[in-house]
Amino acid sequence: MKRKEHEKDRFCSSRTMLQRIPLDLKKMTRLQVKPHQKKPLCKVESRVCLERKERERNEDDESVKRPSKLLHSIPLDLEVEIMTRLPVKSLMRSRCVSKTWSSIIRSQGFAEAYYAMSSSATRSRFTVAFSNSVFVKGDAQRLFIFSSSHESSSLAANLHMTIPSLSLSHVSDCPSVHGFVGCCHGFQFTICNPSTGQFVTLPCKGNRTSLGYDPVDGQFKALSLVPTPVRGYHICVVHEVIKLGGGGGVESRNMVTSPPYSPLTNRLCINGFIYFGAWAPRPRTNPVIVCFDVRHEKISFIKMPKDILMSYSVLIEYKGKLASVVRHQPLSFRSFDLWILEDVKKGVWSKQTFDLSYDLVNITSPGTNKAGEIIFAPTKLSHCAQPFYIFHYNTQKKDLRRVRIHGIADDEGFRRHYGLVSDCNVSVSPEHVESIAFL
Amino acid sequence: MSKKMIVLKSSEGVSFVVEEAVARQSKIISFLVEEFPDRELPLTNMTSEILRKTIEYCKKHVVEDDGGGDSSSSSSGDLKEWDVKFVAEIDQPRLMDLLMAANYLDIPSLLDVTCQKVADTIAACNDEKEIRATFNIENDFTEEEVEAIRMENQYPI
Repeated sequence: MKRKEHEKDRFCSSRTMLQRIPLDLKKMTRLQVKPHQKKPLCKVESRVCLERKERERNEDDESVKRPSKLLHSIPLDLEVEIMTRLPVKSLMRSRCVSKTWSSIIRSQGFAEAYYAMSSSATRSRFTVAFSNSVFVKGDAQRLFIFSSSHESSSLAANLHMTIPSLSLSHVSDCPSVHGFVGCCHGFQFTICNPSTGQFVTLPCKGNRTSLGYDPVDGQFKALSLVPTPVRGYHICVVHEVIKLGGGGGVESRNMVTSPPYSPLTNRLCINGFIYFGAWAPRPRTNPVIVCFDVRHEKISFIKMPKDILMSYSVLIEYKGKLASVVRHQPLSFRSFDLWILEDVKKGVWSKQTFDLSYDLVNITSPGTNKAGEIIFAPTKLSHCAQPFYIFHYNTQKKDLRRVRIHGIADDEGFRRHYGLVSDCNVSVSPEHVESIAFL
Repeated sequence: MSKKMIVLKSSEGVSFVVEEAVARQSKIISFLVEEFPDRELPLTNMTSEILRKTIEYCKKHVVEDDGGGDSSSSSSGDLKEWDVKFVAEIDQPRLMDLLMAANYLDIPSLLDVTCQKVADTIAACNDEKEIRATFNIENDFTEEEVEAIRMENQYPI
């Protein structure tokens, strides 16, 4: 929220316009010297402003009489205000309108303003990613990413992008991190922006790779765990950190080491850190949360009680904190524990147990929605055309609500069109924010 | 208890007598009435038509704080509907003027609905040519440049 206000200060208009009010404001020095008015224009604004001034000067020189330009006649910051309200598809098209529009939309400042606007509660979204089948090989593999708003009364997901030659395994998920979705497949890692359709596939040294975002520097990095096989299990000591950027590629690759551990749970990025559960140093020894600081590229361990780390524990973000949902049975469960990491430094966890009114089968928790309800979602599409449901659990009311998502594998025509065969893994990411940024 | 009234004057010199609570939705006016309580406020860059529209919006959105609850204040759903209708009835040039007025007077909610309406109009255009035509924007790209931008979205397999 803070960030949003900050963006508003930079882009929004109203305050910087104060001086233009043709009242007796000249006498009112108090109004004119508000500190936030002294903020320098961000890069895009200043550049575009200069371009515009130059153009206006040229127009004056040539004394060209042009018809009144409706959008052109309004200040740049208001144009930005308007454009942050456009869907990404319209923005992509709008880059062709004029050079001014193109430079606004491409700027870093605009990408940040757009992200801040998209993060508002009324624009919250979720993604559903699934592949055509685990049995389809090579070029015929497809990963489909659908997205829907949380807001409307009837939720309908639309296809955002299709990534060829990519399949979702039963252990991989596609979490959304700062507008981008990362998907690990063997020793390759694909990062995509479902809004713009851009995707990049990178070779990695490890076979467990996940996407992290450092909000301080606005930098994406991928963390790849390089496993060493030791007597039937895997031990990690070495990690590859891939700094992303520089026009769709890799800016740099670093190697980072840690004390030995054996990874167990899903990996989750919260506020500049990637977390996952592991045993250190060997399976069935000390349970820890491995914590990777995306900005400083350092790995540390957080101690935890044994009960939090089961093979069917899943890490989620719960009200801004790291939490673990421990299903009491792995395949079909009717109760679960919610462990919340209350104090990261001291390693203090709280525990609550919840009973559900009916069994959930082949269901995992990908996280929470904006209202703080825990989302439960399927890990597989059903073998035939059936409605697709996710579940919202309200921990205060202790109420489990089934929500249908229209437009996901719910009729035969859909299954034929997307070439779905049996065994299609699916991954839901409950908090997706639309982004106009490019890697 | 009589309500305090203030006077706003448009660029044509037409005076509008408005309840202070209504006008105070503008942060600028809110500030000015505290500084200059008994003056009429000349808004020399706002036409009577736009000022009338702005006041109409503010009247609808004023929060009654007389505590009686007798004034059936509109529910947020009704207000939203009213806003949509309000901006739908305004033609493009006047919408821009209203947007500028909301910006000058610092009325965030009016700025939001007018910006959203303009964005919706842009989003409803089929291509960039229609956007340029609707908003009278000059095309300063060559055909090749437009084609190059279009190609940027084609990602290799």
